[in-house]
Amino acid sequence: MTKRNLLAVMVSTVILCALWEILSLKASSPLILPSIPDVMRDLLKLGVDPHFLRDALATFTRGLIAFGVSFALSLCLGALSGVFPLFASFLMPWMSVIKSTPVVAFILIAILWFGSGIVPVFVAVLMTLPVMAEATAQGVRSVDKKLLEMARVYRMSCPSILMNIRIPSAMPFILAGAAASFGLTWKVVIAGEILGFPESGLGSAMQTAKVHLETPRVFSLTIVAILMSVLTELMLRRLARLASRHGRKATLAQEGATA
Amino acid sequence: MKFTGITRAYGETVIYRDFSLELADNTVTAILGPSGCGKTTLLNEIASHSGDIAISFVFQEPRLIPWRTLAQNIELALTGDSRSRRESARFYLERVGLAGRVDDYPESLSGGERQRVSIARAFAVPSTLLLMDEPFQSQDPATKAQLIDLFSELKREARRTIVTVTHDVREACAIADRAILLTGRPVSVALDVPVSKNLESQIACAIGTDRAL
Repeated sequence: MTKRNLLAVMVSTVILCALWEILSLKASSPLILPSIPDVMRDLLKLGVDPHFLRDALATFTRGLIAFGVSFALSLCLGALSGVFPLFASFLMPWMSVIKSTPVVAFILIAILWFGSGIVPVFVAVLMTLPVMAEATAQGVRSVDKKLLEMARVYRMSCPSILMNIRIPSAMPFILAGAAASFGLTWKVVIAGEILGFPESGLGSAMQTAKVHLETPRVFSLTIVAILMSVLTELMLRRLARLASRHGRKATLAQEGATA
Repeated sequence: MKFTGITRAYGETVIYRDFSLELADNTVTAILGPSGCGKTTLLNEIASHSGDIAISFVFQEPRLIPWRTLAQNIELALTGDSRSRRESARFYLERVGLAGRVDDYPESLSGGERQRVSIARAFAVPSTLLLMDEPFQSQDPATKAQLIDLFSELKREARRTIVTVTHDVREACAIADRAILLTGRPVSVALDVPVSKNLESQIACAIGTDRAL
């Protein structure tokens, strides 16, 4: 980031905070819009709340499980549709249905089918699957056909081609897709928790706080959720950049996966 | 080495019909002809007809794996235990003047240097047949001359049967023992002569008679 861009980000952040403060003063009740100090005080209280730790851990575990399942599934589906165009066409209607259905509709249906703890995981897997599978397929398709021809002429073995050409060339796309869907995972898991209301989870805590009119608590929990999402996505993006140091088209993949 | 029954068509257009080619061992044959006449197709056909013969290939572009080092790029094309592959890769990189760069990645090399690696790889592979598809084409004249010198040196040391595709008659004169001129659809041999100083006039003559027909 250049100095000028950094300055723009800082100015924008200051304006955002100032606006928040002014509006909360106008609202004159922490029930409607708590001030920044209110929320900060509540964040500190959260830190020592044993319930909070349990909630955060529950949501984190759900997110990880959902991400893991979705990652494994999309690797298989994405690789298959990358290699076989026919399979990609077969998969297309399924993915289009998933992509265009509102998250809440899936959550409501899933509540009828599963226990409230599973709902967030199920829906998160469903929502991230198209994003990651498409990124994987794009990565598999992006392989340089001329390199494959070279490998065939020199009679490189199948495992060697996979390890040295196919996987490294798909990796930046896969990791960029993973980063994008990790961010999405948290949002969907928490939405699922709010509606499904499992025993513990950040979403459940938010719902409880809302019912008890603890608006500062809703805000501080939201900040925790944002941090979770930003940190995991940043981690994966860093990993993606590392993996693509020698692979081209990585920036392209990142843009494609985010869009 | 003999290749027979080469037949190839793209849609309605028959490019090769029962074409055959015989290559004397350890010679360099230059395939000449206007662009689009089917020279590259012939190389690919030879490659797919080669059966058990070990081949190596120098493509028009270097075709190096960008996320592997120069040494790894060569090692991956070799068979055998990792030590001998490593030694062979180092040896040939040294031969093409890239001794200090074995652990560099292709992106840090110039176009001519990358093609050197590609040539090193082709000679490091213990092949009987070496196929080259306009290997010096995309280089500037100075680099091209250097690469041709390098190739001639490596060729003298290694005993290979080499087929090179080019549309540059001077290049053919510099590296080949025999020149074959291809024309027509399906492709036929318009000229098949040992390379000599008057190759250029022979070709002009062959094309002239071809046009007259």
